[in-house]
Amino acid sequence: MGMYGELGDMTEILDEYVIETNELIEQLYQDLALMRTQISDELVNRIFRSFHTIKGISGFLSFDECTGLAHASEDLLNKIRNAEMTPDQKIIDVLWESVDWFKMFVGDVGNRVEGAYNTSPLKNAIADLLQSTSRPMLDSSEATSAQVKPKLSIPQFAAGFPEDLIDQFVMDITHSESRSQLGVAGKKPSRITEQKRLVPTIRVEVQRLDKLMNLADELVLEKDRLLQLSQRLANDLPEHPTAIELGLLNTSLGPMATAIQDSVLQLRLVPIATVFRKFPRIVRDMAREMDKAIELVISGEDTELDHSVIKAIGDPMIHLLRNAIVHGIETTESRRSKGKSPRGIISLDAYQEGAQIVILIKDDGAGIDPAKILAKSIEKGIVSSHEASNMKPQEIIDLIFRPGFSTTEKITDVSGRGVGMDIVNTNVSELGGLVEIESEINIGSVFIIKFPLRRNTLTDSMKVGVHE
Amino acid sequence: MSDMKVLFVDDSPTMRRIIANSLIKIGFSDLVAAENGVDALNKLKDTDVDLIITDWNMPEMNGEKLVIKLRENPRYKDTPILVVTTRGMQEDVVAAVRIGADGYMVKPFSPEVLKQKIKGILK
Repeated sequence: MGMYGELGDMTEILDEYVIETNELIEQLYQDLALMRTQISDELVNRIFRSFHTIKGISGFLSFDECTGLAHASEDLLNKIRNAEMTPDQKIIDVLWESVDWFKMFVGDVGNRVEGAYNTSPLKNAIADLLQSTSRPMLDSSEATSAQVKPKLSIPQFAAGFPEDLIDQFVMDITHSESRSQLGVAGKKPSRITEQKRLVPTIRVEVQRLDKLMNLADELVLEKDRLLQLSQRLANDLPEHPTAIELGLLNTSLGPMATAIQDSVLQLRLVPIATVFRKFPRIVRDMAREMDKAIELVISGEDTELDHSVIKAIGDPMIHLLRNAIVHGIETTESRRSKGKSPRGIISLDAYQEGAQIVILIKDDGAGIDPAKILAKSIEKGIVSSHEASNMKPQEIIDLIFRPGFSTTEKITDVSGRGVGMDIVNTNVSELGGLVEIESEINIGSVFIIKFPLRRNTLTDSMKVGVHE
Repeated sequence: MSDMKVLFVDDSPTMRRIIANSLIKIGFSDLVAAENGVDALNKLKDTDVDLIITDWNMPEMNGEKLVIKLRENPRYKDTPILVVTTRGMQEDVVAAVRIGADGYMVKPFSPEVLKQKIKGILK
């Protein structure tokens, strides 16, 4: 394949290409969505660089359609960068379509048909834009007063599109289905069938949401006090018309306040895909370093969690993945000798179960041996041998969460910072969740992280208060 | 040539793999990879290298700033530097050579071209 074809291991390079291009595509969607409402040199440069990298690496694989389209998109970005063009709706739409095309191409790359990917319509659209825009587009009212500055700035951009800014629909796309189908050890992604979800959204600062949430929490507390007061009044003056009316008011005010609080909490939900999409590369690199064959299977990436949880859940999850790779999945030889498939499987899943969000990190590895855990815990003085004699297997397994247990995590390239399981447990409980383990020798282990769907709003708002 | 230590700098993991495989294919084995200019300068603190191959357009610190920094450093003022650019970026090539790079290479390139380019700047 291409001028690079004379080298042996193309699968590896193609895998790397698919993962990286998918990452760039996600980044491009985010950045282009951002460009609809704001612009900065940094943003334009980043978009340029994403297209530039796609162009560079596609060239080595002789994906000429990719190289050509990335090059054309780069030309548009160059004009924007040099302030010869302002990224209006049309320009961003065309760039967006280019990214859609790349997504389609990369999704098909394992079983692509030569010549089946026509980029001409897009390339022509870009050429038209390049031709038509030889001067910056400011609207007529601004054109008289505003000077055209050589560099783009947010005010200048905004001046061109006051209406647009107000009515702006930012297309927000959150999906990573292509990645979820990407095996760690060379499995090709299958065709993307899921339609992109184009949901009109607006971007809001997190701080504003926090403020709104605190207000909603206070509203609910005050509502409860009002309810108590009106009940007292009803007891004292059961026949008083004002007491009766107040009671009625409470029956409508109560649910309304709770509904406001719920809506605010929903505003803060983010799909866990934003966390999961970092994992294929991490798992693959670690697996390679440990010389183990591991496939990562991801599902449930549309499951939504509070953004504060999303922000903080990545590290503990990476630690659990690392644990599964280093201690869970056996070497290929060891798996063969046990009659298992040589390739280990780690699966990630997230879903809602009643009032909880559940995240599963499951491996089909060696499992946790209670006898070994117990011996080590006694040796480390975590439990006395007397206590140990009464412990059930599950209680013994849970000992790995005790501080001081995980000292075997040596600081190597793979197992990294030598953080123990107790830290994972602490991190998760700080977020209001808990971690459970189910394990069976030679079958594997499941780490189960659970978060309440409704956060404990009182303690949370107190926490927010402390942080500010 | 094959016992030389080579530092290659590129923000793209795919490019790093391609460059590493190419270098191995043409006989190098002592390789150091860096993700950008900052990372490269950090890696150079602990180790001396005989040849530097760097991408031009990178986040954090781009190829241009890296070459300038290297040329300012007495330890690296004479180390051969090969800059990797893409087609249609002639201005980059001119800039690279002006600030002290020894040669440039246009993506995509075959291992054979890489070999010739390295030979060229080592003369």
